[in-house]
Amino acid sequence: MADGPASPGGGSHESGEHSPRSNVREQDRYLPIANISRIMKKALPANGKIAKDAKETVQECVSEFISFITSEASDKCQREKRKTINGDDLLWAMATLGFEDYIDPLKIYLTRYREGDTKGSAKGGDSSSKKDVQPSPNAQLAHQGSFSQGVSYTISQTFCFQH
Amino acid sequence: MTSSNSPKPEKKITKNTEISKTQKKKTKNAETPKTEKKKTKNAETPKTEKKKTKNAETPKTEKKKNAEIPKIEKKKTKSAEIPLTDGKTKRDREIAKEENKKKTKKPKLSNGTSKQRDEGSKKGVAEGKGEEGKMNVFPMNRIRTMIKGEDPDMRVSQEALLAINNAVEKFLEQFSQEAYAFCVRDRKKCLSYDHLAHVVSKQRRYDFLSDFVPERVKAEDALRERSAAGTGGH
Repeated sequence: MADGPASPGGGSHESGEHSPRSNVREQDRYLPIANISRIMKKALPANGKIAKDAKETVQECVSEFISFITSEASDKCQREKRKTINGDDLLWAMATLGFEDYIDPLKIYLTRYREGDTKGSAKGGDSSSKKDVQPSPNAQLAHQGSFSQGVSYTISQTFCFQH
Repeated sequence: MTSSNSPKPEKKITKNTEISKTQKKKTKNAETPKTEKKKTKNAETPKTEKKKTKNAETPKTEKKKNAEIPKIEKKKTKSAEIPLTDGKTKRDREIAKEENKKKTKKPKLSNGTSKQRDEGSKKGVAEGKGEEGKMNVFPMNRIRTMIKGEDPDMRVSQEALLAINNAVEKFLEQFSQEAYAFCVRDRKKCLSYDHLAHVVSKQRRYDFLSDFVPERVKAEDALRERSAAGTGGH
């Protein structure tokens, strides 16, 4: 795979830190640019175009955003002597760092998630199976079948959304 | 069944080599006019969007078709059997059914019966995943890896990953819209780096990005600042 895009300053600095496994780290340092591009396009008018350098810049900004929020949440957990970052810690971190308007939608989102979680632990298992399937498709038919059906539902919903 | 096992490693290789090229493919897809063949290809691969972009290109899909023949059968029947209300998906169903008819009947019967049994349980599972699927935009393992990079000792709950996934989506939408406002003001068609840099410099909430997205300065101005500082930049 080709290395992910990186600014000269930031790239050289971070690559030094992760030199033993630079290829893996390089890939994992950023979210996929296709996903980022899709959401950016969704936020803009239909005729809006996005330059490639803008996509790559936003890719770096997103990574920095995640580090920014996570670092604050991690510090809070350490002060409270906890070892697990949970959703509330991240909400608190966002409010502290100037993203207050994200809090209410995310609370609704997490509430829905928690309600769904109580209905059945199967969903948790399903999400883990999703992770397994994506990097390398399994030979097992059950995983393949369930995964494809889940995605097909997503796609059908996408069609509805487009209409 | 045994024949289907052999081409699978090839798929992994092709996926790995082409992940970095998905962006280029998308641009190509936008330029070329759509044809019926592409529709059928999309119908054949409902699994991931990445596959759709790959399949849309004719020269490369020829190779992929050979590798994916054993799996295509399964995909087609599944896409045809799942109940869908959209007109487009109905067309895809018909196409898949026609293609199935061309093949021999015997494997159909055995495959069909086995799938029918599994479908009862799969549909329930699929519904759950469908809900999760439309919520999670980014790969969860990637986000977990990025968060772990920040503090390896800290554990991250599933709930936290979902919160970050959703927050990043909101961040992207907001950041893009604000940058586009400057793009419109400049009367440009294409959103570019300068518009992003302008957003970062104007809004305090994006200060944490100022090191990553500085506004571009002319060399003359930079040299002046340097000489004014005396000892030079730190």
